[in-house]
Amino acid sequence: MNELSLTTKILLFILFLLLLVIGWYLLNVAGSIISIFLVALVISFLLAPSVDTLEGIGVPRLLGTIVMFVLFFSLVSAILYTVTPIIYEEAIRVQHKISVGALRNAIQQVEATVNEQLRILGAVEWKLAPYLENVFSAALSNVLGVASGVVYSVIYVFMVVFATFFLLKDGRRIKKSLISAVPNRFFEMTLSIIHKIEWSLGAYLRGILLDAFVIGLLSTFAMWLIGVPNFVLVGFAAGMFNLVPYLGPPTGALLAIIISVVSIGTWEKTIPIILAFIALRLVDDFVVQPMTISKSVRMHPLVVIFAILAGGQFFGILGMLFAVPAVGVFNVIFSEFYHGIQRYRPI
Amino acid sequence: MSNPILWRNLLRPKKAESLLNVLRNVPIFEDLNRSELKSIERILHRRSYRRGEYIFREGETGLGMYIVEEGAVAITVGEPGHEKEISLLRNGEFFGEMALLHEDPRSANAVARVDTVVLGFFQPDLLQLLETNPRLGVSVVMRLARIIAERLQHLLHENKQLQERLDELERSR
Repeated sequence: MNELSLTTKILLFILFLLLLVIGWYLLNVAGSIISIFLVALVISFLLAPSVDTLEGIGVPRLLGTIVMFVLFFSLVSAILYTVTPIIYEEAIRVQHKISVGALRNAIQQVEATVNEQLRILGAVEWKLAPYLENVFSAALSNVLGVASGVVYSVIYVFMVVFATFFLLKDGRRIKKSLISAVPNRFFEMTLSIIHKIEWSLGAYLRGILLDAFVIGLLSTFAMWLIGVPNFVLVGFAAGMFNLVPYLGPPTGALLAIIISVVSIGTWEKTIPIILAFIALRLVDDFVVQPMTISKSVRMHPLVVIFAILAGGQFFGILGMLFAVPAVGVFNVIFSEFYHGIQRYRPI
Repeated sequence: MSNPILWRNLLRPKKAESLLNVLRNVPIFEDLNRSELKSIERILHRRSYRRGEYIFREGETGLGMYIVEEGAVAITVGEPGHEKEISLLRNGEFFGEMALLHEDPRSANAVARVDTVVLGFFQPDLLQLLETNPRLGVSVVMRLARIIAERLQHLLHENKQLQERLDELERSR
């Protein structure tokens, strides 16, 4: 393996910074268009192996694309059709319980205990309830506010579907055409890097999605065993937030505790819930992730925490949700590019 | 954007029957039927090289094999300026097939003797073929293994003959 010279390393670093700046600029200028393309790319990336397999057994590419396309979107629609009403109803029920004051009672219990302790210490009285109520009602109105953008969502979904179809059908031809434009002396290197990026990205995306799905299922099952009301909502949230490493179990636990306190009115299920999510976290680390996410595409915890903080700082809660997958994707592309350059000696 | 190769590839109609004929004569693909050859054709990369341009150089990591579609390719060894030509390949002949099995350094240079068009068949595409169409993939790999085995047998035979000549020379000394 050829070791890179200092100049090459510096040039690569400058290129990396330049790409970051360009990426940042493009995100600001055409964020939604890019996001449509990226979502379509991810879906087509996940479906492409099946279409390739169909093509391999003699099914024309167009027909294979239509078959996989219809199957995938039917499956997604079926899931949305069956799961969404359940989650929506549960969310409404939870919101109702909170608004009728059960949570207020629970918070007031905590407040009374803390104030008693503070009085003993001679400190001022602590008013927690109004503050927490504001936080919760703001969060809930945010959740419902998202639903109001239905028209925008329909257009967005339509564009994603449209782009996915053509990426699936013509993706390989487009890729081949783009590769044909690469100068001869960089051709083999480019081909090798593209293949490795595709492999790693596929492994990473399939891994995190499968991991989130498994954790969602296990969380739902665990909450059902413990007897937490609205366990489907808790499991769904834990699974979704598990796309952000370290965030799934704490979010699930917090939601489960709030729901159980609001519904039952006591803190008795708190310890079992916390223990269950600690166990889930361990199962995720030692059983699920080693089976779903390839070791080569896992990230250092420090990078993960930094990505979550940066994502939250710039794009809020959605930024936190997508920062780690985005950094994961970028990490794969950059490391494959770096190793590709190390391995090759251009003519 | 005015990249002629890119636009030619995007807008080009289906490749002519002659390409399938070229592939049919390549030993690795000779047992394949028409639809299998078309599957192979879809994953090949057509590249054009000017006279004197290197396709690859000795010591570089290899990624796959090339088939000469049109033109002539010289296989040479040695540093630039002191190269020794070991063979000249013409239409339908292929080279670099060892790299399909392992990303080893290339053992020779390949340089276009005239303006040449080659078809590249690369390891990532072969691996993908093995995943998506195992029957076809295995058939290609088996042919490849047979060709390499025949070459090994030939080398062993040559080695044996050389050893016998060496023994004779030592005895006559």
